[in-house]
Amino acid sequence: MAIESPVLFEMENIHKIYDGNNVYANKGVNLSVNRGEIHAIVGENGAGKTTLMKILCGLERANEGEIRFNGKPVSIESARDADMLEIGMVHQHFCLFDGFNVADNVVLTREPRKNGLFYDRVNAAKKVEELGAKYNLPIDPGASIESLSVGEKQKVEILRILYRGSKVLVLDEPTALLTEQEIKGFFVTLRQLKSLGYTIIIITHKLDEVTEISDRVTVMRNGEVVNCCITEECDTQAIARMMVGKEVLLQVEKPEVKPGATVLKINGLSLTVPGFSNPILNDISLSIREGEIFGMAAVAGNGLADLENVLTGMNSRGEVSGEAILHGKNIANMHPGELREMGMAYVPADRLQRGTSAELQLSDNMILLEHHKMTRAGVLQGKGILAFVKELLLKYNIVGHHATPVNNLSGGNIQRVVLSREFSRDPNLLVVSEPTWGLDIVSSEFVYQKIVEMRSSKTAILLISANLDEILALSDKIAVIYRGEIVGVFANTNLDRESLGEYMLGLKRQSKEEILHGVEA
Amino acid sequence: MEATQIQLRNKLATLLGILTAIVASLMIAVALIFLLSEDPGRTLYFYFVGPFTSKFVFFNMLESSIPIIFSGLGIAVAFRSGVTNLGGEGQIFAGAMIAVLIGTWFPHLPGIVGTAFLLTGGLVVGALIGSVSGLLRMKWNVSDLLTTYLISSGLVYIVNYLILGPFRDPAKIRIQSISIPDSYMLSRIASPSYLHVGIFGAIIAALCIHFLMKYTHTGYHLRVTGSNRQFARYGGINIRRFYVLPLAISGGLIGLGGAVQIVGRYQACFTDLTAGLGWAGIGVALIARRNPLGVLPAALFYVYLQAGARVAMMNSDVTYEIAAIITSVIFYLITAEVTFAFFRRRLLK
Amino acid sequence: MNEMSFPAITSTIVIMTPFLLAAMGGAFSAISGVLNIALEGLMLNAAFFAIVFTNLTGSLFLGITGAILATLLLTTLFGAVAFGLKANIFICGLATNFLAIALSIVLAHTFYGRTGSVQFPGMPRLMPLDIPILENIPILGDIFSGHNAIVYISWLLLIIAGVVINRTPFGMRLRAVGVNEKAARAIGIKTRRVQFTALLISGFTCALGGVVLTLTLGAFVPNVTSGRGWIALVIVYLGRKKPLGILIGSVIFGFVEYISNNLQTTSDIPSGLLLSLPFFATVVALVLYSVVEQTVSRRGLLKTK
Repeated sequence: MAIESPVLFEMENIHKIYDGNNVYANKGVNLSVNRGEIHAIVGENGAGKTTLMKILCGLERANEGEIRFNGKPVSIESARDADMLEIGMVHQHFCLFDGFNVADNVVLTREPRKNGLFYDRVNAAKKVEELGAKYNLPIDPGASIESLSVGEKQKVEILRILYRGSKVLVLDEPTALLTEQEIKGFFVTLRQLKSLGYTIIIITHKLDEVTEISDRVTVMRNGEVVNCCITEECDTQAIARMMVGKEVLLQVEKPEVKPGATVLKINGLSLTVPGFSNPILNDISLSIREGEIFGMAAVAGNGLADLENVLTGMNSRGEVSGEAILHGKNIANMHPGELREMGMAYVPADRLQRGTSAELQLSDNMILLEHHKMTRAGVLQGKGILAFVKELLLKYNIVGHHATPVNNLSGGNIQRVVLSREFSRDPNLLVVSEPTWGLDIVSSEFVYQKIVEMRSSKTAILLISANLDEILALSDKIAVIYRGEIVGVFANTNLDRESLGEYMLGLKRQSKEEILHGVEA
Repeated sequence: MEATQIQLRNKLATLLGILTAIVASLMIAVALIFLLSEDPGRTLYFYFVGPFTSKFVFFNMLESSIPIIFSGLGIAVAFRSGVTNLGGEGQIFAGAMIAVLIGTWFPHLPGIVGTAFLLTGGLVVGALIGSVSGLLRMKWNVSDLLTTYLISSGLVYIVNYLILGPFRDPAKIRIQSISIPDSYMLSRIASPSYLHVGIFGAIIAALCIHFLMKYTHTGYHLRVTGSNRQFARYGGINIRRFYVLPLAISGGLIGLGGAVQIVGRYQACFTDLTAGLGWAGIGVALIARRNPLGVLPAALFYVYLQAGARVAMMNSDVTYEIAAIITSVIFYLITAEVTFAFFRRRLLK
Repeated sequence: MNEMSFPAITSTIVIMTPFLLAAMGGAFSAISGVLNIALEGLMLNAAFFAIVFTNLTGSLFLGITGAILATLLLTTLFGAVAFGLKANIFICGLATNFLAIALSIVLAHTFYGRTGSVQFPGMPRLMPLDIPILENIPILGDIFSGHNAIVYISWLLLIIAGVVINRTPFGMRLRAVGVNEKAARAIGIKTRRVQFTALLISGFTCALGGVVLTLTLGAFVPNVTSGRGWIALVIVYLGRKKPLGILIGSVIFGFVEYISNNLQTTSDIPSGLLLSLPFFATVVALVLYSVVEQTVSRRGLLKTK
């Protein structure tokens, strides 16, 4: 027999388009993973890492492409197929079941039986305990899932794929919610598993972890593989550059605007959620002035979405403390209706579920905030509405009839609908979140142009985005959030992607004084 | 493809999906008749052509659509607004009974005033019944699906009791309540059939509900909340309010339909008065895709199936309830996403 | 007064049996995350076919078997449309209720040429069975002996249901699908198949629940189920989908119905009004449950603060 090739499996020319938005999640991706290595896949949000792994694990189907295991083409069409190939995945959102204990969760679908008919609870507990001991993942098999910490839950997930006999372990953002201590222990486990011959794929965007743990690293960006190299041979800075890319695609003309009075002042805003030991948002302080775009950057999962909810009255998890002062009033726990009356406009990150109502027609979506004014004696003023809507359609260049349901529009047009509604009210505070997520270049440019126009008309703008290009192109000031805290505040002069990226990825942080100074400046 | 074109084709796909359900149900009708009838040809003829062969039958068919239009409208409003009303039977019955009660308590009003009074009574009672479920949902998050059904079922027994007990008309052979004065009855059109001017009322109701939902401030709030509660909250709408209001409108319309049955057709209440009219409203609203104006043709189709069965029963050897089998087939297929998706794929690629 | 309490318990046990059976099946569906509002129709279907097949074969056993098969067939249609054609499962449940009513009338017309109640003189009925030894124990014997076979079967099934749900791999998967359908699919559970199976189990237990209604009576009357399937649905919810909870719920609603029946003969309250009692009692129970639950969770929140 010939010497075994080091390659365990290859994915070749994988293409994936999700239904509905015609955006490539994977565009001709090639990936090759060796037997027994720890292979890191890094990239920004939306780079296509998770999609690629879901295809490998049979949870999504590629539109095109081939997967070869040990040189032989295989078809992976379901989770079961992946199981047969001994591939197991730990998802970012754990697949654990409340109401079951640890052992139940581990053995589910492969339950030990007694008398061939009944679930053997005792044996399951014993097996899980043994497994935990063998792999140095000790855990109480009888503990209920709800009582576990995030790190322990992860142990359960890993034990599950080990129990199922997987030899390839795919871990999606495994360290995202772990404490430093837990991460250390987790890496010990990974090394041990590697020494036992397991192949491990770890999706992450934390570069220090990549250098610490991985043998090779594949870098993805915009659905494509940018590079694949041996970790020891490339430095962190180089990977960071590849991840975020060099070129800034969009150039935005920003006219000179002198910032005016402070509009929104946030003091020590925190959010605690039951069940999470650390606050989701911790002591956020900042202030935004008229005619200023304040950019908030972070990698997903670090609290941006919660900040968005807390500031716009859409928070429904956890408890808010601290204050956010708008026109002398604390808005931290206000209803969206009150915020709207105080002149806040809000472009949400989730434009399909929150920013629009898919089955309603365009005009209904556009008059959401203005319909009170367009009513006489309880009747909507058709003519006035039509004129209003038509003007916006024209002004925002929206391709669609006023009676077209929103779900018949493209993503770019849907975002224009949201912008037209929010921007046409002359707000004094504008909260914009992920405004170009999933949009093409033309639409993105349009969105930027409109945001800059709002800035020129002296609106205070909070821009929340995980997209560095966007943050850099638009913001006057930038704060970076890492694990719910501000780790750096900068004036947007002479900043580059790499240095910001280091803060976003937790490689660097400013001192308290520097942050305070940045906020005050 | 242009957005307007996509819109058009989506509508077409929906229409084809509805047609598929209808055609399938008609095919089942044909199959059933072949299976159950000794003389399928004759039965088929009476089933499908029968309703159009005599003015009497045809106008009676139109008459039978009146309560179904009201209940269909009530259900359409509920579905549009994101709540469920399974209490149509009880609401119709209560609406009818209250009309009888008011009619007998105030027998000497001028005709038109009396009629209006009776109809208002039905409307208000239906609305109150609906509101109870809405309040329970709003205050304690109790499922409106369950409470509308349960309250309605309880009411059916209570109204039955009123008919059989304290308000029974002992002079009549048939078991029924006392009758309202003749002067309160709506005038008939196309005698000797039962068709009455209530049909115009039903059409006007459909137009009003269409107007309410589409052109008024309240209707806008109902639609926005019903289509996406998160979006409504984001827009500053107080979404908690929108459990009571839609259920009140829904129940009110259905109760009004019950009162119309009294002043238009029966003059008195009897135990079989509802006979599935409340449930029929759900079917009609679904065929109409929750569109108030669509309720009109959908109700006509619904009663056509029933009228056909009635004619076939009188002239041939099948029973009236085959109509119920056929309508349940429509229920099964009218939401079948597979057919709608099939046509969308065909038309949009 | 003391003498009265035995018939109360005995009657409650008989009356609660359809509730218990239907709710048990409803619980299987509910645990897998499907609200099965067709319990009523499935019961009615079995109630009708029990008479048809018992009359046809002259055997109670074959009659019951036939009723079960017919009901499983109807459940299969329900599931096939809901899962296969991806139709709204709630509307399909309604359709199943209507179809069951229509079928019973059309078939009664076709087979027997009548559409009202159907009964045959001399047809075998479910008879009370005395359990040896137990029947001789003074109080227990009076209460627990002397019921028909399906009452005993329902108790047995309740125990089996508890075991299946809590002690078997299938039960684990059932619960897993209900807790988190997406995650269940991700770890390789065929979620639709599990839910379909749960639906079929509903069909089976509802069939027994329907059978008991007509075969003790010896006749099928239209609307013989009279809302029991819906109340069973509420019992599933109030009993938190747990066998013990369902048993308690069935006892309570069985007792309410017993009182309502009993008052019809012993009190001056008109019987028509008493018939509505179970429904309003159910609404009250739902509200009380919800109020208690909300208070508890609010207290719980305060504690964590």
